[in-house]
Amino acid sequence: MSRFILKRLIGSVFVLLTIVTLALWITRMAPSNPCLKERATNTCGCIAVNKLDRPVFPVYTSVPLEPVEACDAWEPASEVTLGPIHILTSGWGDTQYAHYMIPLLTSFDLGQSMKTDRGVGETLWAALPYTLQLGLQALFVALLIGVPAGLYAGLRQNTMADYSTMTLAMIGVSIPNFVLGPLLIMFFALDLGWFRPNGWDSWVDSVLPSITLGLYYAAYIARLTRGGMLEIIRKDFIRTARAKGLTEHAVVVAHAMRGAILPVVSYMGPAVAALLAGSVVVEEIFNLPGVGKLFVRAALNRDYNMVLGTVILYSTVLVFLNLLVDILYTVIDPRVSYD
Amino acid sequence: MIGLRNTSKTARAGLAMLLLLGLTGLAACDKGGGEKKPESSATAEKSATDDGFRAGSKADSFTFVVAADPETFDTAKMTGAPEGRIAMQLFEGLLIPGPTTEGLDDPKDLMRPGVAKSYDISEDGKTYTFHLREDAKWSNGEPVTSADFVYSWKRILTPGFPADYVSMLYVIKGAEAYNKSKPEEADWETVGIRAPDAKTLEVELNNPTPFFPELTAFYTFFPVPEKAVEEFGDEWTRPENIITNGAYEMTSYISQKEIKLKKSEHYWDAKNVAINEAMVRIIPDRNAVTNAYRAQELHWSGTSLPVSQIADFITHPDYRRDPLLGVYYLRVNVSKEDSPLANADVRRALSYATDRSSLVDDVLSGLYEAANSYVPNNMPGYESTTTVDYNPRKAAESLKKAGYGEGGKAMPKITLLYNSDENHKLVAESIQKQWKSNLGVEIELVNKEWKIYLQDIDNLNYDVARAGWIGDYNDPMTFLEMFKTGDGNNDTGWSSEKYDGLLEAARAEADPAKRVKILQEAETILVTEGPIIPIYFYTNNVLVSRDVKGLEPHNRDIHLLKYMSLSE
Repeated sequence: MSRFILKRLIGSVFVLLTIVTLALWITRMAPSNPCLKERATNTCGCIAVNKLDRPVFPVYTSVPLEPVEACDAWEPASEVTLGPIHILTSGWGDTQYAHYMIPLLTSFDLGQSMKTDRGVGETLWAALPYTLQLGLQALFVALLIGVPAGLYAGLRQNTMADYSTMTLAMIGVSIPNFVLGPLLIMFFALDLGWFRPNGWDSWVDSVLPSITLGLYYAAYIARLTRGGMLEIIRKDFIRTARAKGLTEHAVVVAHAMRGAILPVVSYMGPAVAALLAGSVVVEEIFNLPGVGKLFVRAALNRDYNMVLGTVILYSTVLVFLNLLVDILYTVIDPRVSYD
Repeated sequence: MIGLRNTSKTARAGLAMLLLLGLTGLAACDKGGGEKKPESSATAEKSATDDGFRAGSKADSFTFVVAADPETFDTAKMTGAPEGRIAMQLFEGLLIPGPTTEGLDDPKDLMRPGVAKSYDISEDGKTYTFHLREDAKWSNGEPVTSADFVYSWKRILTPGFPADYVSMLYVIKGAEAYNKSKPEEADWETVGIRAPDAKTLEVELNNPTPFFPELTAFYTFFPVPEKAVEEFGDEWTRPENIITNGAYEMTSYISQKEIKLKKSEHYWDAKNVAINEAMVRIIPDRNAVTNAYRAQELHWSGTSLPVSQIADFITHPDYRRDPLLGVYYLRVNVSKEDSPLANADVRRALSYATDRSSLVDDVLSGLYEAANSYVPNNMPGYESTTTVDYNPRKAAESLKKAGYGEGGKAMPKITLLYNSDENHKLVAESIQKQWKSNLGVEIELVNKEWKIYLQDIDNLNYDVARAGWIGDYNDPMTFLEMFKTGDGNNDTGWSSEKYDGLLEAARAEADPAKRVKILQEAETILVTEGPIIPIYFYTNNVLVSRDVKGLEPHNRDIHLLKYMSLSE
């Protein structure tokens, strides 16, 4: 098991490095750049500070921002012209990639935001607790509603209870959170005045966002659990358990439930990742100071470093959660073994 | 957010009930909140019969909104409105803006003494001598001296310093050359900034610049605390390090969430500052701002309301429509030689064919004011002499003169570029219809995301594009200067020697009346020949609680908390 974990951890590092490299390349490929503002400003200062006058990779140059010519531009090591393609070359050390990767790998420094004068690391660190709490609460809501509802429906297959639960689940899956959120705000915050319409100062303020975010997953988990239960309840060992004279309660709780929630467990990894990433819209609607909102702003502002910081954060969480789920799987299902 | 505000109350209640049914399992969660604030539901019920809602009454301290997370609190580096609004409370320049611009015709009346208690102007209008007040202090109790200004301005002008608005200081003699020189060659002695003693500051300008007093109240000209900057470097603006010289100190800042301000006890005018604490909430979404206001969490909405919600608020006593020194206009790209837009007659035709009044009244719910010129009509001490008219007949004639339309060449399709925004879309669609019906010109609407829109404008990759400009100071120059040849904000490819010459003449002119005449002439050229089609003048549509006193209309949307108070 420990060998498996080690192997996966090493693999994860390579996955993360690949993701960062690709993300860095893609951000630079996006049209426009962080230094461009509505009013003509001191673009040269911005370009110099952010090293945007360097090539992205040794044999690839994407940026040539127009005003660079007026600034003290980087001198290419050589220029190669291949038909229509004009390539400027440089050593590895003088690239945007190296400027980003070296501090990242040596001191885990995520750099400075290109939009604000604050560090990416500290900004993410300040936003992360909100997103994490929101995600975990939403997960709690999802499990609290989804698992019992799924079990309930699964045990009463083809009855009115099953149909109505699954109809509600279908509605839950169908309502997007940008519709649900404003509806909840309108009714519970503005009409009833029970909650604040936006902002996050206390736990109470996180209730509506958690419900908005969690309800979709509750509905999905209900469907997964129901499916798991239907499959497991027909198995021989359940029939044996019943034949032994165990009460229905004991059969369900001791035997069937573990198997029934297996699909839910394997869904947990992607679900948690999706909950964290999915909070983007909810954070916008409820104006929560989380990572999702940072990511959207960063992408719109072409704040390369902030985008990369959030990408690294999200991908680390995703990779780590998938690993955790694999480990958890062996605990729940004895048939699974990685040794 | 979705547009639910237009649905009937019954339908909304029905929808909410449907949700409630689906949420039966969650009812328990809701109880906590219900028990906490039972009085609010009563308020909500009462509000239906009262005047809708009453804001601010629940907040402990004066609470308002900025529309974006401030990029920086370093006044030398900032450019945006949210940063500016915070900076105006934290720092103070040589002069400060008065509470309002309403009813002021003389630009001199706009300013009040700040760190400087008075100033003298030399006869040629080029040298300003500021006399600093003895009791001006930093929030740590140390005096603000003229050396602080010299240090701060030198810091901004240092070659390579990333100050976006450094060009604001170029009115000072030698400043531009110093800023653009190589670091080792920069000679501070050539710059016209001197501090003969601790309480006197002499500034020599390139030209008599009547708006210089107002510039000194602009954040780029604010002093920064040398001690903190040298000690903490880039981190001097953190709440635990920052030292300010304005009416307020910053006590805390949470990124994307809020900024807390506290009255500075060392501020020279502290005895007249009524609001002791203020909370600035950071809310980018305008719908979220109105929701927070309706939930009685704000004293002042801070940013303009979303157009889609104006109808709900327009009759409310808290609603205000304040003037704003800004113009919404269309840029025309004149740089493509093969484009009909290179012809001034075609541009004039498009301008004549634009019915601004109907656009503003019918499409934008009358929120703004139809632009009858380029320089906004609320500029103190200036009145445009040119008007832009709606005249379809003249439009057709003008187009014909250019050789297009009936009997001439077919007019090729023109693109109209705008960035993603509901308002811009409405305006673009309306103009598309007007030009089609008045001139038969086909317009293709091109919608792009903000940053790509900026790039296209910058690269002159458009035919016609929407634009907006809010003045940096109360002088027509802030609007006219951007269209001089080669200006970084011109972005139209337009160039006129005569226009450039008039601006130069205006700069050198010491007589205010003559100067205004020259600027009026320049504006005439810009509007009749030039690359712009004015559409409307901005207004600021905000909500202000009736508990707030002293928040007066200001055409540059500058509001100092020091003038405000909350009624008991």
